[in-house]
Amino acid sequence: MSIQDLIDQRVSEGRLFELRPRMPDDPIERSMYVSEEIWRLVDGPWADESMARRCGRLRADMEQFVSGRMVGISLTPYEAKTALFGLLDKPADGIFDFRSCDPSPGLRLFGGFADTDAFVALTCAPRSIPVDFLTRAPLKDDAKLWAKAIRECKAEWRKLFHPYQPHTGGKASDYISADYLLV
Amino acid sequence: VTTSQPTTFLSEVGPGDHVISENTLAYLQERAKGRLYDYIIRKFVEEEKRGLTRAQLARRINKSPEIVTRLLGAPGNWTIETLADLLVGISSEELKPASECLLDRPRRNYAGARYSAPKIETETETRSAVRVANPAPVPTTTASYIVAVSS
Repeated sequence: MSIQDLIDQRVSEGRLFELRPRMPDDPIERSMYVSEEIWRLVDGPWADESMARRCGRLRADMEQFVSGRMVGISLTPYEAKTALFGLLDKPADGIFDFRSCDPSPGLRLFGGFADTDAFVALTCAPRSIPVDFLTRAPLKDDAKLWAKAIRECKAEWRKLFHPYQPHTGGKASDYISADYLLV
Repeated sequence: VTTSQPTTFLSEVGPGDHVISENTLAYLQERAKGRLYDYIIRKFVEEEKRGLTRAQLARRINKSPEIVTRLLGAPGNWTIETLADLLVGISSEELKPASECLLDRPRRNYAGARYSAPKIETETETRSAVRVANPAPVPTTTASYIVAVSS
């Protein structure tokens, strides 16, 4: 069974959800699949207006990727700056954080590419300050918390896709085929 | 207590005196930023192929290379002033506003990305779907909120 077959199976089981643009004429140029945890954030219902606003922004950021628009990507851990995708340490593991930085509180989705142009987002954590609607503590600049978040993401990946590992590569185009800016 | 329910997206932004939800307003705000980012970065990539460097751009708009790198990474802190600076610095252009109606757009011709099982979208499958009596052909390009004119 290919990883594509596994994704289809996980979608049919309700363990993964395919994110599609809300606008009916937006193209789908790339694929993004999300866990139930993340799907609840982008699909609602939301506990209050603050959550509704933040999750509306998050969804638009995710659709930027799906619709094939320009995205920033960094392949240098700790140097992602403002890029939407940042490859995390260790690069050979292929774990990225999808970085919804604005507005505060910044959110980080952890996941990996199943293949070029196919991202799977599995867990979510606040970047710097606690967020009512997320159970995880803020990552801040705490290396232990980041390492834990990466471990949790890898564990979720294994549950869904064993024996497949996240897709890896040495160039940005190994992850996103076109319309990206290497940050 | 749930106080903010998802609603049908396009019916929500349609005409009337109902309140547009905070979720949808925030979504459209971020989407606008994303479209502007797409527009500017395409210009930058085009000019980069012709030899423009980030350092040159930084000098042209009187910002540090670090600031320019941050600005090019994402549109989070962009202002109208940032847009104007980037556009003139990258391609000697200026902003010219344009917009388009969110309603009555044709449904996408959903062939499915490589990792999607091929599937035709129906009214019941997507919250955002609207009935289109006579669907027009799917456009080959999407309009930008801002277009640029050469100076």
